[in-house]
Amino acid sequence: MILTREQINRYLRQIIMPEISGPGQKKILETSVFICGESVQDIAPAVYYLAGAGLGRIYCRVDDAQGMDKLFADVHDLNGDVTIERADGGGEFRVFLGKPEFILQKSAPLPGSFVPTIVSLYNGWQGGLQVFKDQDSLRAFLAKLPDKEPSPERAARDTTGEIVSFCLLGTLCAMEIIKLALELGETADQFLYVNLLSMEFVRLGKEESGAKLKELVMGAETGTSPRELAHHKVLIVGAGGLGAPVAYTLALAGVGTIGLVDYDNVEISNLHRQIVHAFSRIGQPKVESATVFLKGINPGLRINCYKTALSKENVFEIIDDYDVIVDALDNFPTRFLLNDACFFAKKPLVDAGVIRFDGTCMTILNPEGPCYRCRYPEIPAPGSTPSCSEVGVLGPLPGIMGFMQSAEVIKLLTGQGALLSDRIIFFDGLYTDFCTIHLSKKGTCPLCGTNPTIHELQEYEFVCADTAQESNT
Amino acid sequence: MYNDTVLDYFSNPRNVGEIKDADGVGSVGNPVDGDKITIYIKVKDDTLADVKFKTYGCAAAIAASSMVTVMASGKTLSEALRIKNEDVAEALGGLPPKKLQCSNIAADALHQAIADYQNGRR
Repeated sequence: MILTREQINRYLRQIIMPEISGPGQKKILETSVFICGESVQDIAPAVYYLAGAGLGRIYCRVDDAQGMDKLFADVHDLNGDVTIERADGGGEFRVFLGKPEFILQKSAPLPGSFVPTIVSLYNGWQGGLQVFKDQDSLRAFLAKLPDKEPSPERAARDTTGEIVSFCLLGTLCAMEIIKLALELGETADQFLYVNLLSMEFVRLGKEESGAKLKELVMGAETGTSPRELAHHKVLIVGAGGLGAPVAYTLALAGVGTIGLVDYDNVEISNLHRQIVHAFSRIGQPKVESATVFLKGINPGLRINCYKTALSKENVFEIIDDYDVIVDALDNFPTRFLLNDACFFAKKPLVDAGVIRFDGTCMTILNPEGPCYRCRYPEIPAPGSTPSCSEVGVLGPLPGIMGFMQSAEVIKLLTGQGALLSDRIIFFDGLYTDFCTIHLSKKGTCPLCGTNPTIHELQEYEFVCADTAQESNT
Repeated sequence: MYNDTVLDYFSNPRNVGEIKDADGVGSVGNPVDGDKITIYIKVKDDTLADVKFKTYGCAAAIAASSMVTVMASGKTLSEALRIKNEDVAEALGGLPPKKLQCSNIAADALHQAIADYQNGRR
């Protein structure tokens, strides 16, 4: 066999995708990457997701190595297949992550032969990345980057915005690296501009990119200071693929209390995408395993664990205490249950879903905004969706969508920015393509419409209960 | 859950891919589980000169598709039509009972590809 039994189980959700399959996974395991960042925090999301997906050799270089030993220990426990070490170069691919000043200083082509390079920079809630396949285009990009003197305002920068920015961008880099290694789809060869305050994701042409880069570097749009997050409470329903990145950012950003709902235990096939879990915690309840990891990031974080499946009997009691609810679920019936309960309880709900290379994200403001049933009035019939089959998911994908959800949560809590409350983001990871669809409240919605037919929680049947636990999130 | 033969055929599938100028294409799906198997054939002198597959589905469906392409390659059309889903499962050393119904449909896709060729649609 080209992979061991344990590797097949570990990477099952990736091997199952015809685009990757066993040979593709083997290629990922044989790939090496060099990651350079300002701090350990900057590189951690990219490192976790690359390690989870099985990227064989990760070489790291950071200016400030505080926290490096913990990151390496976490990576070893997440995936023993991966070698991670400090180095000043090497790798078949290179990633530079950091603030614009750092990028200008560090990402000039290293001596030796050129290797495909990703540059990812952020400033507050804004950022972007680009993949360079030749030396000249990287040089031209760096020449366009405005040189900025560190100014006193930077001290008062919006750190919550920066946290979600480097998490999302680092994970996008991880996905681009896997695509580069497997020559899959299309990479972001033009600058991808990301603004998590307005939820804009734009691929810029050569002409436009100069002006937008200047705006990004000079930080015209940032500067809103977040209110204190410590007294806020966020409930994350599902401690898996989506729940992991949401909890990760909220713990870093200093949200006071996180509630985690999940009935499941950690399995080896979770570890390629669920970065809060670890090999040494296989078999433990996911809520407890996640608590260990999250306390490691933020020892002061309060975590309430609910090791239970959400049901119509317990849902109101569980959501009652929280300011924002996050749907990090992997199945439709529970999604509909949560949507309906949040509507009746008037709780804001941040939703996301992932499958294969694709993800969606939207925020539901109850009762004024469009709800999940405005999008899908009824639970999809068996056979109409692939949700119960094992069609796979690329490891970094739920990371990208979960980090997007966490941006929405922080904006909701601090009253900043424009929410995804009247639009849905669709992300096609294979082509690094973001598409926004506007959604308005539907008059005919059975839940929130003008003549609703649903007045209380219903029975939410699992259409294929025996395979539900094998689904993807 | 799966034996080593199934894991081997799943993780290192033989004959994966499409045949662009195929002489016959057969596709079967199982709507309940979302599996979809497509088989492409190239026929020369009444013999299957090339057989490839593309499958979205679970490990069992991928292993079964891979196995049926191996079993059918080089066979005459009438021989290939005699390959049954049960033969595929047997060649894989058995499949879990739950998977026998939902994912063991690769031979059906092969038979459809042959019927497609015989109907002369291509």
